Parts: sequence; C-alpha cells; structure tokens
Amino acid sequence: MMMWMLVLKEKCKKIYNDYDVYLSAIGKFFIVFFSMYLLGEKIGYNSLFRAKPIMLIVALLASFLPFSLMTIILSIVIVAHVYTLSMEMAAVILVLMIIMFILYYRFSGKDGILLVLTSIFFFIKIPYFIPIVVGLCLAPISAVSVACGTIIYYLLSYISENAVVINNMSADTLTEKFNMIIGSLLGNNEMYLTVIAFTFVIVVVYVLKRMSVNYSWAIAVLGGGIINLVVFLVGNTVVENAVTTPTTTIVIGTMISIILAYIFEFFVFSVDYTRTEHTQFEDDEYYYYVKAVPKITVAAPEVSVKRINTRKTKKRVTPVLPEARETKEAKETKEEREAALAAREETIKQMRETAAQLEDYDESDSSIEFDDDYEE
Amino acid sequence: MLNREKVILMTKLAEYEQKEGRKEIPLSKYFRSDYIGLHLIGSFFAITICYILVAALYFAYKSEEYLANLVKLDLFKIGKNVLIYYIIFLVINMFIAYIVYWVKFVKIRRHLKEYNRQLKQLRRIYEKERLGEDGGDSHDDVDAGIKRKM
Repeated sequence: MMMWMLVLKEKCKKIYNDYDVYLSAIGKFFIVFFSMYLLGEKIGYNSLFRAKPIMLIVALLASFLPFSLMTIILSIVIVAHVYTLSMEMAAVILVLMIIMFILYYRFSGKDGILLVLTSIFFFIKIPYFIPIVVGLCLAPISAVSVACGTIIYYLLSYISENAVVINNMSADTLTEKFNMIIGSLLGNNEMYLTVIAFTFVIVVVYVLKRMSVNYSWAIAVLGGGIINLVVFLVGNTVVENAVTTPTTTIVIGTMISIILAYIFEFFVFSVDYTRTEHTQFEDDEYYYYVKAVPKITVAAPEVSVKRINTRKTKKRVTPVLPEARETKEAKETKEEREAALAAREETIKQMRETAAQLEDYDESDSSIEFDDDYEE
Repeated sequence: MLNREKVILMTKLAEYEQKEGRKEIPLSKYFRSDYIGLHLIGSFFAITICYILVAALYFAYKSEEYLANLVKLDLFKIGKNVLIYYIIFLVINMFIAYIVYWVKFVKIRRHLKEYNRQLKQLRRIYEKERLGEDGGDSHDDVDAGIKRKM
C-alpha cells in the first residue's frame, strides 16, 4: 500500500514536471471558476457575475494571470455582488478589504489568495482545512490573512442571511444600514472565537511540523485538528452560545479537514515540485535559450531497518569501553553519596527530636540552622 | 566553444536577474538605514490612510448616536481621542513595519551576496578564457599558457 502510494507520488511529480505550465493554469482556472460559482450560489445578487459564460471568461483570464491578481479579481466579484444588494454594505466590505491590503499585503502579497479561499472553504463547510494547511506550508504570519478571510466570510454570511431585510430597507436609512452591518461584525462572538481558534491551529501546526521528529507533519496535522476542536468546544462553554454552528458539524468538518490535509500533504506539500525554468540571456558570442529541468530522483523503495539484537551487542560491548567503566564508577560514587545523604538525614532527625523536647521550639527556623551546622 | 561551467553559472545568474533580482539588484545601492527609512515613510502614509478609513467606519457606525446628541457633543474631547488613538495605531504599525523591513533587508543582502559571488566566479572564467586565447604569447601569465597547452 505504502509502496504503491510512493510510486504514485513520483508519477505525480513527473507529470507535474512535464506539464507544469498547463497544470498551474488549469489549477488557477478551477480555483477561480469554483470560487465564483460558490459566491454566485451564496451571495449571487449580481446577475452578470452569476452567468456561467462570464464565470468561464473570468476564470480563463485568471488562469493566465499571476496568483496575486486572482485575489483582486475575486475581491471585485464579491464587492460587485454585494453592491447590487446594497451600496452601504459593499462600501463596508470594500473599506475592510482596502484596510487589509494596505496594512498587511504591503509586506507579503503571496498569500493574499487566502483572503478569498478562507471564505470559499467556509461555504463548503470545511474551513478547518485552511489553518492546518497554512500551518503546514506557510509561516505563522499568514494567520493575519486567514483572520481577514474569516472576517469577510462572517460579513458575507450575515449579508446573505439578512438579504431580505436589507432589500426592504428604504434608501434614507443609510445610517441604520451602517449601524446594522458594523454592529453585526463587532458583536459576533463566533467570529472572534473562530479567529482565535484558527490562529492557535496555525501556530501549533507550524511549531509541531518543525519538530525534529519522524512524521512530524502527521503529528502536526492531528495536533492542529485537536486544538481546533478544543478551542471551539471550550470557547462555546466559556461564552455561552457563542457558536451557532452545531457541534456535530464542527467535529465532522474537522475530521474531514484532517483527512484532506493528510492527502494534500502526501501528494502536494511533501513533494518537491521544482519547476522547469526557461530563461534567455546572451554573451558576446551567443544567445542562450536555456530550459533548466530539475533532476528527478528515481523512486527508491523506502527501507526500514529493524534492529532486533541491538541491546545484546550493546551489553557485550559496554565493559570494554572506557566510558562505560566511568559510568560504573560514577554509579558507585552515587551509591556512596546516597548512603551519606541517608546518614545525614538521620542525624538531622535525631537532632530535631532532641530539640523538640526543648521549650519554645520553632521548627522551621531550627531545621535551617541544623542544616547549616551540618554542612559546616 | 561553449563552456559548460559558464553556461550553468550564467543560467543561475539570469534566473535570479529575471525574478527576484529585478527588484533586489537596484537595492544594492542602499544602506540599511536608507532602505528602512524610505519604506517607513511609505508606511506612514499607508497607515494614516488606513486609520482614516477605520475612523470613517467607526463614525458611520456611531453616526446615529452622534446625530441625536449633536448639541451636547464635546468636540474637543472627540478630537483628542481621535488623535490619541491615531498615535497609538501609528506607533504599533510603524514598529511592525520596521521589523518587517529590517528582516527583508537582511534577506535581500544575503541574496545579493550570493549573486555577487557568482558574478565574480563568472568573471574568473572569462579571464581564464581570454588568457587561454592570447595568454601564451604574452609573458604576463605563465599559468594560463600552460593550461592552454594541456
């Protein structure tokens, strides 16, 4: 079984190496298309972005663009959907997104896609997958973008739940609308709890994964899942009814997330998908068009060595080694020391007994005194 | 003749130049203090804009309350609070930005050092080639001449 999976892994690697350009484009296409489809289902107020042909065109466009632009495209889609419903809500979301971009993405724009992907995974009910994976393959600083994504999801879910109410509000209740949406954000305990839980999970997974233990990633994934459950369940009891999501959903979602994380780790993150590079340059004599292909190691079967008689050999060897002799000596001196200690304790006990017979005896003080005397 | 070693080195250099290097090589002229200082100025404006947005959201949230008590509002106190929070917000974010850019600078320096090392290596190869072509006749480098004969 294990062997078969390893071979499969190598095959994946080879396929990726051969067709990396096409595969990453296809991956981007599916991420964008699927995200747009889900957004259309959940908050699809804008009929333009709900139309399948438009989705296809946008997704096709995104498949040729870098990852960072994908975030911007999907953000625009979100704002456009909400704008059709209510301008004020869209303004709030837009401002929040701008704040997140300005404050955080100046430093690291690479994981911006998490902003949208977190919401998408919330929609398909397994958001717990995101912090585990982020902990596995990114740094703890990415917790910021996951937290931002979580906030955006809760905003969107609030809007989609109260769409009818918002729609029926008259245009002159502008301040009321602001009040409503920002109030929903500030008073949402589940959101706070989720942000805390996810941050915890990311940090724990990151720390566990970096331990120098065999299968540290497997331990990390499991540990992350458990921490996630613990924080949610404890948080739910501390702040009553903080979580509106049923407990069974959380437990099952976490379990599915753990399994998915294992699969992903095995096929995606633990494999070094070094890409083929194309570069061109020139010197005085030539133009060079270089295709640098990373070397692929042939799948070597993993051999596990079981040592059955290690202890025996060790025993036989020990008397010969000088260190062993030393330890033996050390052991002897240790025994001597222990005996001395016992004798000392007994003397102290005797002295205490004599002292107890005296009047006005303060035990704690005198015991210290006796100790000092003895040592002198 | 193609020199295998040279091509490998040039590929590495080209890869860096066309990717991270495009942004990092111009930074080789900067001192650390200049680099961080320049970015902190940018950060200052970004953080200020951010704070204005946050404050706008807050006032939009509280607008009803404020409008109801428009007469009783202590504008001086509100202004003072806005300023105090701004300074706290600014200091915290500037501190974070300082650390981030400091780490970034160290990282860039490391890349540039490696790049420089490879450039030097390439130059050595070029020199060897040049000496290999005409070094035998000139008397300044005996070694190169010997190498050529080998």
